[in-house]
Amino acid sequence: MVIFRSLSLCDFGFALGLWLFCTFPIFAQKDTTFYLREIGVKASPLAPYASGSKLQSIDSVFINLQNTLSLGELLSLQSPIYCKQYGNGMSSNISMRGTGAGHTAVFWNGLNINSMTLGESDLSLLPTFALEQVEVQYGSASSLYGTDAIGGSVHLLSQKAYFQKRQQIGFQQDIGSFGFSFSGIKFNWANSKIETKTKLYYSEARNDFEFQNISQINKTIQTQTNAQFAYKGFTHETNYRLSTHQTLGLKLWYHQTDRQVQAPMIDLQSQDFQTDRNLRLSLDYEHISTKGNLKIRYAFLSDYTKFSQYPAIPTLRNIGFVQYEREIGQKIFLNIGANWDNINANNEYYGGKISENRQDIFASLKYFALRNWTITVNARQNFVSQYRPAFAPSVGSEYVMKFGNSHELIIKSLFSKSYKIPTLNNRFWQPGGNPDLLAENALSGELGFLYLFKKAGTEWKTELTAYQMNVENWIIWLPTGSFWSPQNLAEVRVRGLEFTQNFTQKTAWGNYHIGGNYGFTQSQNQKALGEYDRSAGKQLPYIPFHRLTLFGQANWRKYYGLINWQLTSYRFTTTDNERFLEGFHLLNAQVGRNLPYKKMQFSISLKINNLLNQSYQNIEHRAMPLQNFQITFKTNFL
Amino acid sequence: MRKQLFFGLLFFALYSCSPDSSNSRPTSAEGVIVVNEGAFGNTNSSVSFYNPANRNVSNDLFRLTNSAGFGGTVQSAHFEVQRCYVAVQTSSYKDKIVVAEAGNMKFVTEIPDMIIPRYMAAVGNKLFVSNWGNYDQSFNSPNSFVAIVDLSTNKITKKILTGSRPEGIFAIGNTIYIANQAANTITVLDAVSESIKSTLEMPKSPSHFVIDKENKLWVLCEGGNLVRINPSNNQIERNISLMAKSPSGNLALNANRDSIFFRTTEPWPSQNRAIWKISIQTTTDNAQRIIQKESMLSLGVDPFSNLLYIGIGTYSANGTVVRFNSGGKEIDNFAVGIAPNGFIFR
Repeated sequence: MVIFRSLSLCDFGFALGLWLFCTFPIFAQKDTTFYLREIGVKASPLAPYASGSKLQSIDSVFINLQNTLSLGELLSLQSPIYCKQYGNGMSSNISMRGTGAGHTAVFWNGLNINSMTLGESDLSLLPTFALEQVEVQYGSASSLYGTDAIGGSVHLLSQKAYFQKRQQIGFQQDIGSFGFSFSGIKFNWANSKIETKTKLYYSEARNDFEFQNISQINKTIQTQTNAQFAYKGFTHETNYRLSTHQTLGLKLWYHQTDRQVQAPMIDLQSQDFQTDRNLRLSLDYEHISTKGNLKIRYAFLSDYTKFSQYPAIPTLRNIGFVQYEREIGQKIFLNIGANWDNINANNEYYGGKISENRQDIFASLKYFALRNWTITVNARQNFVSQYRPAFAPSVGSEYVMKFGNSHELIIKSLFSKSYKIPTLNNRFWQPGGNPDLLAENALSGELGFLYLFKKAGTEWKTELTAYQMNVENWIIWLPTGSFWSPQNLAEVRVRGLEFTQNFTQKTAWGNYHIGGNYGFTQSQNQKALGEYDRSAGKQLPYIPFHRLTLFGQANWRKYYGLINWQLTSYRFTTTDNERFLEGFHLLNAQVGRNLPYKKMQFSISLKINNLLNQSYQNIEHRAMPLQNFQITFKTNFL
Repeated sequence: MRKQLFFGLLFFALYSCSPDSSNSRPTSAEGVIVVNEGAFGNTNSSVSFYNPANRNVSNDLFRLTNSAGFGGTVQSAHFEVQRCYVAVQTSSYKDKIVVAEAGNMKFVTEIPDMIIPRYMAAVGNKLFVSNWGNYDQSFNSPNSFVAIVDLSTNKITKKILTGSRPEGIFAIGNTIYIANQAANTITVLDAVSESIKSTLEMPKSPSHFVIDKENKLWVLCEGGNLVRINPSNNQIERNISLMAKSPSGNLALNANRDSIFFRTTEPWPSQNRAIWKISIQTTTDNAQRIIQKESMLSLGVDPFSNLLYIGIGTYSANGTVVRFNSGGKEIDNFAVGIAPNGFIFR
């Protein structure tokens, strides 16, 4: 397959050639993905038992236009979530609602794919091209999702199979500054029985961008070295309809990233490199009937990470899952299930093989108390072999007020208790691992107001959420002489406000969609960590108080444009708040044109990142690129 | 749209107001100098100046003067004729000695080609810097050396191989003693001829030196020994086993130079560290524990006031220096930079 060759795709000519090749009129054409589709205020697939939670669906048009970004970069543009990157194309840590990277659960089609060793997901290893649907649930939800869902959860979902006869091939080629290239291919085929979707992708970059070296006294402009990266992977999905009630599904995702670890600007000669490989497989059976819906799943996850010459860290997981949902009478929905997760980690740092079984049982009850008032109660009990069990309940409520035909106000409230099982590294790493660690526990409450307005051609959505969360037994690694060790030391209180605005207008000349997100986050350690520690009452490091994103998308005839602006306020870099990184703002813009030719669909677009040429860092002294460009060609055949 | 504009402007106002980072800019290097190691991989190391007369602290003077940090972690500093020499370690062996003016820490130059530089001692116009050298595959240090720097040109003139992991370095007249922590030896160098005079076998992990009022050289061995050497013939005169204690770091003398202070670490998971006092007359371990605290990183004694200075901290926030009298009673404390790991009293 052409895209798996190590192409010198920075070569413009070759890319153009590939694009021209792809434009041969082989198939008949009909595709809608290039156009800005109608953006509706539609219910999130997470909605059924998430009453009271703030939910966000990342716009599928946006996902399609920005599909060469990592999930971290995508969320940074479209949400108040802060994702800090250790350099361009490097590891990316998520922080939702003022918590740490391990306090967000990342799900791929219902499977928690956070690394079992690190306890978090590196969002740079999740390329947007491989994703179809990105749903975000803000706030604590261990009662629904188990461990890690304290600050929030991110759900990477496949679109539901609809078994309609179709055939579609798409190619994409991007080239950009610093030797960036991206190649992707999509193939979808379906009839009334079988539906398959396959994607292949490859990307690489020399990543030799220029930056001002602010760590130096003379602050020269330097070129980043030792920061090359390449990633590749494929996804495949086959759904088979056994009968009108039953479907079988297979989902597969392999991803590999090889990169030089971008050194801090004080030390550009660093020769560290890292390889990450992830294989994810899920087999699903679904039975839908009037007696209820049954889901059974087996999944296999294999994670592998290797840093420089040090021993690799492989992890294997086998997961079994069963869930049954049914309606009881007219007013109650009941959902019960169990999850079994067998985790095997074998590496030198643990002194051998660690095998752990985790069982969860869960139940959800949704009660339509009134025509416009729903209450949801969720509970989950977790058991870990040779470890303490954890319990997470939640109660959520939504009250809907309608004003006329087009106005709606929804009042949401939610109370929940959540947990995070200490990671394998926290418990077993030698030296330092602390097997006596307690689970981190969070108690949270939130109140939200969602206002919707819908009239022919116009949609307006405003959501305001206020929350407070207290996390106990927060784990911190502290130096203990010659090595570091984790302890349940901190107590963190997070208070915050989130504001989301979306406005969509369809007009005779085209459509536009504007919106924004704002988050205010006060995340404080409540307890001094030692006699002379000055972190009590201080903001946690690398949590910005303010984040704002604004965006606009429009299409006019065959042209389309997109503009994104994001602001991140200053972030403290130490727990005593004595040192900080300056805030920054970034402007990205993209313009493109659809070129229908006979029965095919082409599109070409130009993207300018960091249009205002801002010098900024997410992590102290990890350089980020100044203004840079990207050209995207896409073709689609039916 | 108007609402968004409003929030945009509001946000811009919030975003622009970063915390105040101004700091008074003192110019005197007299008093107590605190070396703050900083966290590895960052450049948040610093040197603090403390004036015991008025209790003024000036932190991060090098950064304030030069608007940049040292560019790595700092193991130690050394003052010589109005110059401050700072041993800086990066993560890829681009290590160096940064030379700054002693008064305001204005950058003068840097001496490259160091590999994990540890401590410094000067004789005449020569600065001797112990260097661990590069690690091999199993994290051993087989290529350790002492770099000799000509202080008039600030260039390395010679590198002399030593035993593995040379740590403390001490000058008596024209003789340089270097404690090779991993080789369990002391290298004795002649500063004039720049050649090795002898190598002394030592108990496990010799690390640091002091010289007492009777001109005897004491060596702390982190394996748990306190060794007295007669510098006139380099013979070991005493070997005191520090029963069941694990000492680490440097030694310090009181103002009269007749008592030695050292620091010990309790085994993990205890966070406790202790400071012990022992007389130079002793022949057995009769050390008295005078201070017990968590997270103690360093120890120094001000020879002018006979007060103990203890550095306390983690690597995720600025540290604290706590002052004690020689009996171990806490007097006061002040905030310094990240991970205070050494003191110089001038």
